[in-house]
Amino acid sequence: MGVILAALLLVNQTPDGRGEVALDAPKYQGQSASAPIPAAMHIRNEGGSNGAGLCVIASVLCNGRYQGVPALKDGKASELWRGAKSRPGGYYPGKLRELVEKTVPGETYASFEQRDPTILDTLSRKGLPIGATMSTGAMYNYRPIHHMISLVHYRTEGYACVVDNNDPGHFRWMPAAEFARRWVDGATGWAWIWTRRPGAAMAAGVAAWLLLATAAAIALGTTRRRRAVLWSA
Amino acid sequence: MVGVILALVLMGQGGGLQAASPWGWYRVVINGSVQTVWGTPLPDGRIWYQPPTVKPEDPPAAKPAIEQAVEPAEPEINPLDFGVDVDRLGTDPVVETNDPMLGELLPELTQTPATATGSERLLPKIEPRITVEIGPYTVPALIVGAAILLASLRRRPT
Repeated sequence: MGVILAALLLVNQTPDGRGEVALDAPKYQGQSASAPIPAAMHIRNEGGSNGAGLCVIASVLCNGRYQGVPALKDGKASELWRGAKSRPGGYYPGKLRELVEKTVPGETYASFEQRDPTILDTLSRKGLPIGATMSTGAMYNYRPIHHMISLVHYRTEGYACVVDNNDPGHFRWMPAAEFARRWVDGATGWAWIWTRRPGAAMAAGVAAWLLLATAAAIALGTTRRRRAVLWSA
Repeated sequence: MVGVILALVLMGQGGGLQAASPWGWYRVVINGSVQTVWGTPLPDGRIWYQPPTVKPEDPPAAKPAIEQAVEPAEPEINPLDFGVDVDRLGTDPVVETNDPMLGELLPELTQTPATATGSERLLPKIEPRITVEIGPYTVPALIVGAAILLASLRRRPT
């Protein structure tokens, strides 16, 4: 068994016929994922109240934790996940919107349904992780599936990187053209994002500290002027 | 153990497995409990499966676990198994958002107006404005900054 497993692990590190390879790190062929969600933030897929899957919720929960959405910091203890578990699984844009607006009120998002994969490149270049449909994959022996994953990197002329909620902890790299084929499932592809800017909270913190530093500098300047007046007196 | 786990299933009933059996849903016994997994049979009767798989519901006429494991049916994937209801996805391009600032985040989208069709939730037009995002340190820093400024102004010599 050990030999078989070792062989499989070795195969796992080598691109298959469609160029997919599963790695432990968000780096491949000199490219680093633009939204390298740490493995500790990956969310494993489960079933909803009717047994149908929660891949959509797992993907947006994983992405939201990475982006610092406050209501999602507790992962599967969040209202979003608990709400999804208590409802039937299987999601589409309208059903996701209803759940998100109920359990993550006030958080901004955007949903895109189209066949043109350039939207994936546009979103990924902003550093945003994307909940994206994926209609097949090596994990599924390339049989058709109706699935959503976290797309953490996509460059039209380069590679795509996927965090699959059915296999958390790994980064599945493939040529972008290969993912583009998988993205369209049936009539369209679906991409969903939290529009919270990556690092926005950090930027606000830096701005606040800059303000504080400016105030301190002004105060210091005033004190020096006062001393100068005293000396001249 | 990364990626793949071997699940041992009880053998000896149903006459073994076909060598070229396809991937599909199998009922297997893992650590004493019966679970449904996505896998493919090995020649020796065990199921090679990839965790996790999501199919908690039993088929309507489920056979006992052992028989299901050794006599796999043609793989059957419910469209909802993994969680996307593709039948409810639109056929026309649609952009839907509750973010009035999306145009600033994605100015590229406004250059391709064909992405949106009739809905009140479409991508809003770009309306340039300055935004201030309140972070965890913003309010304390503002208070301290204002206090320092106020104190320095009061000390100014006359």
